[in-house]
Amino acid sequence: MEKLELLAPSGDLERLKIACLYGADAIYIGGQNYSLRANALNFSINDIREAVNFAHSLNKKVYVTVNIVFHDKDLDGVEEYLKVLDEIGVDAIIVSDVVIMELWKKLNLKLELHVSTQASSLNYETVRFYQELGATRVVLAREASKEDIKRIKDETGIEIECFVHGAMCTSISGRCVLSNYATNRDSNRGGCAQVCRFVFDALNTNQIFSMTPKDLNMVSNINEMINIGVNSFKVEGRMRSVYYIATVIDVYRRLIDKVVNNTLTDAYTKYSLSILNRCANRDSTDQFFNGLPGKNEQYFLGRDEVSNKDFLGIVQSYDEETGFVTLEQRNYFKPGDVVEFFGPDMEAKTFKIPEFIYDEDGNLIEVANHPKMIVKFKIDFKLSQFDMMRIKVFDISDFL
Amino acid sequence: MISNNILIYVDDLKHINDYRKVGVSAFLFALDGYSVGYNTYSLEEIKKEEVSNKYIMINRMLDCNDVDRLKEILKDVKGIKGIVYEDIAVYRIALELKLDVELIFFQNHFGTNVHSVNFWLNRVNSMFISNEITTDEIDLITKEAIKPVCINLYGYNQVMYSRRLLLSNWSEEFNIPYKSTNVLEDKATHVKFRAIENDYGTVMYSDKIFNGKDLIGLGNVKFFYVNSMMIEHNIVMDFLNDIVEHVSELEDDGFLNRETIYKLKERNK
Repeated sequence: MEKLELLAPSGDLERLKIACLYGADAIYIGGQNYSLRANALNFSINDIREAVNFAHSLNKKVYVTVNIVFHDKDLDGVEEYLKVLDEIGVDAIIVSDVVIMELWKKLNLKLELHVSTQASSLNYETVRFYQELGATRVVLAREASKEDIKRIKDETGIEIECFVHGAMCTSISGRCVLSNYATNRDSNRGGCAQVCRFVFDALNTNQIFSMTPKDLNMVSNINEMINIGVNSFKVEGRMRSVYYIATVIDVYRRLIDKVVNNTLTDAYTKYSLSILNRCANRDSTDQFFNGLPGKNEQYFLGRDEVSNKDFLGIVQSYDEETGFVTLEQRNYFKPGDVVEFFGPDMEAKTFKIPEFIYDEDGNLIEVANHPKMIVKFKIDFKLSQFDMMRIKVFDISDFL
Repeated sequence: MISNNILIYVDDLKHINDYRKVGVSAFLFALDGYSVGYNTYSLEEIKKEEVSNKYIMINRMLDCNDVDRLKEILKDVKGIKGIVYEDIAVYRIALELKLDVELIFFQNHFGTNVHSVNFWLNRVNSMFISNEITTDEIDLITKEAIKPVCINLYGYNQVMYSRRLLLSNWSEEFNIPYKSTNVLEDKATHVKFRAIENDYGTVMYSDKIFNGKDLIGLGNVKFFYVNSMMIEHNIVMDFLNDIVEHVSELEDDGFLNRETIYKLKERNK
């Protein structure tokens, strides 16, 4: 079996570190220019350098998206930028415009060339074209069926990267400029206003029209994806929270490992689905993998995307001598609440918040009700920095 | 008499003679089963049409089975002058089959810089440049292109292409009689889009007809493209008869004089 890679998104250094610690094998990030999330915080050159150093210290890789569709003026400085990425030790760039593929070749860069999903690759001939240009990997369009994925892998042998989780475009990625026409924001240069999530009137009817897809979720298909030759399992969401990234990466890490170790059970799969469904604020399906999505794979009525309050806090430190944990609060909790901790080195553990909890100065408090306040309490098992605390909702035994 | 480098999409075979009468000499037919957003024709129907300069359009993103089938279908393209295509696989199929046809790459929304355009022009006969760039950008590309390019001149601009059957799904969900076209208006911005669906997906077009009359004087252009899809025939003919004069309230000039932004802070400058 070829090496399997869990590929996580990161919008900043904190999320990159979380993704690495929670089990990602590689992280993709965007620089402050030339990347399709133009309005995210993104990474400066110094941030990219730090990201690479951190990831490489853990034997993980960093890919940088250089995936806008370039207008001539956008090309200013890009050659120098690519050279710097190469010098820093970035492992690959993710690209959709052939101008960057040509530059990559001309500059004889060490970093690898990955073709972005924006290039809409759905067949073996298109993939071969990019392979002959020097690409070592193609991120397939999200519209690829399992038959197409297998055929492409069989015909080309190239590394195949597929999305496994997160938001979907309504269109084939790269083939949409709704945002340009509705808002003057350029979809293919990182300004997408997500117009496909807007609500429309269908003229000559009294009915609203919506085309918003549900999210992608491949938990139930990971085994099959591995069997048909997918190399890299990509999670969408460079603008998502640390909790989202930790939860999603943690779930897929364990799933992939269990498939490889042949220990995956139906109960664990169902448990994983439930965890992910609580974490996201949209429904999710496997979209195109098992056939053309229909009406059940999209939304039709206006709806609010309300995040739940499951994420309660992130561990800052644990004192082994006193047994006290120090955590940064993210949502309201109080003594007596049943919660669970999860982290890179532990299965989820249930815990009841003790009667005595303290603030940063050691004052006894009745509730933890201020965002980002520091809270301390005693706990009877060891925790590590970046472990997380969430509301206890499910247990694996619920699914046995 | 209009310029002889107009390529017109044939929305109805009955209109061909009218187009010829005003001097149009290159005709684009969308290939049945391999096109979205257009009325389509079988290869046999296209071959039967007694016009020279017949081009076929293959604008779907192709899956592996499509590629296999196209390798069979395109073995016999006698009488076809060229192929206008969106998926790179068509280029590779044409090489593999050693097809004696012009290849024109029509990668919607790409073709936005000189280098990328020339990359493709090194491989194919011509290439469409993007609808979403300004006159100055188009001017630069045409001046620097190593071969004549294709430019959208008139018609609804393609705005989005989804593999999903968005109109079918909607009519099924709300039990509304199915129609393969609809006009959708965004509640927030009141911008309208024209949606058209076939078995292979849904395409959305702009609701204003793009009129690029100011581009007609550009040099180094192989074809100015007139997309007649969804436009009443008399309006298309009016345009063809009177290219440089006619701009109606149905039309606008797209992004020719309106640069898009992508960093929100640019909006506040």
